Amino acid sequence: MNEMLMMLTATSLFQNVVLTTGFGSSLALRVIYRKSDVWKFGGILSFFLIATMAIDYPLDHWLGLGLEAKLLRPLVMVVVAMALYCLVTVVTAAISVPFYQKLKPYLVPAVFNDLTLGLAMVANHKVTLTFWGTIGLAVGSCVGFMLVGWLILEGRSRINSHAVPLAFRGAPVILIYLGLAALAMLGFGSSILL
Amino acid sequence: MSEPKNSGRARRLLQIFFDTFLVRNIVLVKLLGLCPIVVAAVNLKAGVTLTVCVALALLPTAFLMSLVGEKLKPVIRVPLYTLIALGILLGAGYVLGTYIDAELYASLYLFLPLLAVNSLMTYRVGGFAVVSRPPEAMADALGSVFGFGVVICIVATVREFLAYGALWEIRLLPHPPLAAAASPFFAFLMLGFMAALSQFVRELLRRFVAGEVSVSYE
Repeated sequence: MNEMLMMLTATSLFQNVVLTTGFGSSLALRVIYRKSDVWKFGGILSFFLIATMAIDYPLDHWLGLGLEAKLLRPLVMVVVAMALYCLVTVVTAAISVPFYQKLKPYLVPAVFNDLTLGLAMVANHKVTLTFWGTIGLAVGSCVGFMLVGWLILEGRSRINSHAVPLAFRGAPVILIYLGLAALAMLGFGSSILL
Repeated sequence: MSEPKNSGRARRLLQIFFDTFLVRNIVLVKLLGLCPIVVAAVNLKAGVTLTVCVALALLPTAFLMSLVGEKLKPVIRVPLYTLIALGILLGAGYVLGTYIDAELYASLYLFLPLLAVNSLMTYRVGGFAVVSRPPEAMADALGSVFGFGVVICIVATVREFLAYGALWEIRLLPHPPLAAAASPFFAFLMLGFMAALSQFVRELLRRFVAGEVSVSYE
């Protein structure tokens, strides 16, 4: 439980996974434009991220540490993500087509992104965790992603003003803003090694 | 009769290429492919390797999806191109680790498979290539590779020089000027300033073409 709480707090706040690893940075910048996007997309991403990592954990231990395992590991993780994507697509389309149509624009970016696969690789390669530690890492990363999404949203509304030079308006100033936020994270460095 | 048609088609393909490469650069304007640049591009060797791997994964998958993508249901299409890209990248990783540079492979082990699910792949293959004809899809894919490659190599070069005082792992300075350049925040800041420069040049060119700015020879 301690490990789970530690990973949750670290990856959401002190070593925010988006700002310290860049995982999901393109996603946060491209997908989040409204407050509702933070919760909707964040929620869908959370489901797939936690489910993928929970299923990957025992499979990765079964694969072991050999050379073949090194090559197979990413393949297994992507196959798990793909299976979840197919399952959710088929089930939601069968239950309610209008709901599926609302979910559809978020599904592919929520499943196939470097945050999901990257964290699954990190959890089993760079950081040795228990199952609950892995869940803490997944939940904390989802919270961290939503936090960065909210930061980007708030930043966009305040930074995109006529006071900012024309050349810096839009993407440039948002990237600099993220860079400064990441610099703030540097102060908490080495709390958890990701 | 076919000549103007051919030259029109060639102009369209060049337009697509330069649009994705320079005018609306895939990284600096469309904000795709940030993760490998922010984390992995800390030396020029890694930058070049990642660019080659992006090319190996993106070009064939974009071509294939432009041929058959629209005929497939999304539930099959997305996993298909992801698996193909991942297979290519795992093969490239094996060749890199076994025959070229084992140390480089070890440092990029985490990031090579991630290219298969990177936003570049999702938006260019799953977004553009699927609804385009093969020549347009290839022009866009090539523009994406060049656009990504130029940005990652510039960022990697500057970071390697500042953080390690080296270039292509050849030490140039006795002491690194700025060790913190290897951190992700530096990459975000660099990308922001590069995006600003790109936006400035684009705006200047637009005004020049529109006649709002003229060059004086006095």
